[in-house]
Amino acid sequence: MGRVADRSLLLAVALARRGATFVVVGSAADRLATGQGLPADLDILVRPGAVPALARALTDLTGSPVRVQRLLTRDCSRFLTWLGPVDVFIGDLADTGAPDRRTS
Amino acid sequence: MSARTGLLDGEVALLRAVQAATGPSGEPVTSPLVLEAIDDAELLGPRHAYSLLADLAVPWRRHLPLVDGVGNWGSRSGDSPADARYTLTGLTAFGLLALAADRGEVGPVPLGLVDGTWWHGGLQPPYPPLDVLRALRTRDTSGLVPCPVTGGTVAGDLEGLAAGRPTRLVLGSVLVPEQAVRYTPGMPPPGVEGGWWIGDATPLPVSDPTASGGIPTDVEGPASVDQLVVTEVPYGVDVDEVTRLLDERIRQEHGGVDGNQLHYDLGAMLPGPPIPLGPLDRVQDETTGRDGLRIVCVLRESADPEAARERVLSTWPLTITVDARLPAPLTDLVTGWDAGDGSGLSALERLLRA
Repeated sequence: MGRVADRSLLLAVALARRGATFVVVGSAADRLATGQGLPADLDILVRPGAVPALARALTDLTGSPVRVQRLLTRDCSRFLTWLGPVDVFIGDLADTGAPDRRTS
Repeated sequence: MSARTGLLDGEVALLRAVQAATGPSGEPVTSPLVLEAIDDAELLGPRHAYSLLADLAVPWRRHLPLVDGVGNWGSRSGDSPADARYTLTGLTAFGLLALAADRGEVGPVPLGLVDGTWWHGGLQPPYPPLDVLRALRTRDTSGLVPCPVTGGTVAGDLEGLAAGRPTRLVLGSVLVPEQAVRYTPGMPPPGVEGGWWIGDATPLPVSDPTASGGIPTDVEGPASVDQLVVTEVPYGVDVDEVTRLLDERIRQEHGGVDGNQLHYDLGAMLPGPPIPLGPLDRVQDETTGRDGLRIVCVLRESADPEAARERVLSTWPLTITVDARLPAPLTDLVTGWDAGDGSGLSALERLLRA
């Protein structure tokens, strides 16, 4: 079970190690904060200014080119990696009213 | 929902429309005729109806396909069905039984309980047909656990699921360890009678140091390593995606940015000492229509098979999570199910054992 429960967190670490800056939201954030839960995927919130770095990280991790424009023109984009799916939301943490537990 | 079959009313109406096109026997006819009958019944537009027919027909969606699809109805690798002009559509014996039960000609059949709703994105998991029949006859749900049509493992809070609570289940793949066939140049493969070799070289035992003829008889081919073979994947997983992402992981672990430093202690959030290259050497899809699913993960020389197994299973989507919930506690579903005179159960059992 552990290998599945922490896979989304490993994915967040992998993206961060590749220079992406983002906020983890959703069930993976719950798991980070409480150690509980079984995230099905990784949901991240990215500021528009941080999208180019995220696109580079996703390109490396997925093995196929990820275009900045694709990310910027959609509210939510899904990418499949060997650590599971990642849903990318474009916006700012201030818009969500969520507690500030930023990772980078 | 149809109380006599457990199917949704729309599904039963669709089956009726299929039978209107095929006649009472359900023998397959060209698919546009069926789509026209569905359109005439004002159930669905042809495009959506065809996709739904495919879901009812293919054996990797339901334990008991209701529609008999002849021709190219797609694949588990995400290929779409051929155009309706090139396929035939009819009713399977299970589809005919569902309609007979719906008309009251035989007793109720538990098709909804067997196949659940996962096949169309719902929350109710499927169960093994014969186990469901046994449970309905004995009114005993012990040993009745979800069983995806595509096989694989199911783990998680199965007690919570049986109690009717929303549950997140973990679906895993099945790996079979294999000793790779060891080929020796100039010698027939093991288990093959007689011999075959190229040119006029004389095949000699590998251990013979006097081997000649220019054949490097002391060298074994790259296939002489152990391998793990994926024979079952979680429900709904695209088989091509499995191979692609396993391959991508191996690529990164062999030279990606920091692939093999990814498995450090997450709690400490600090990189640990670099670990050796991953235990997997390469992956190859040897799936065929005859032999079924066979994705071969070749291990690196002297790699630990257990580490390799863990590495394969931790790769998405070889292990996935799915949400599940039963409409009521399992014991209520089974004990409260009205079998009528039991003729539906008997007819279903005859079909399953045929």
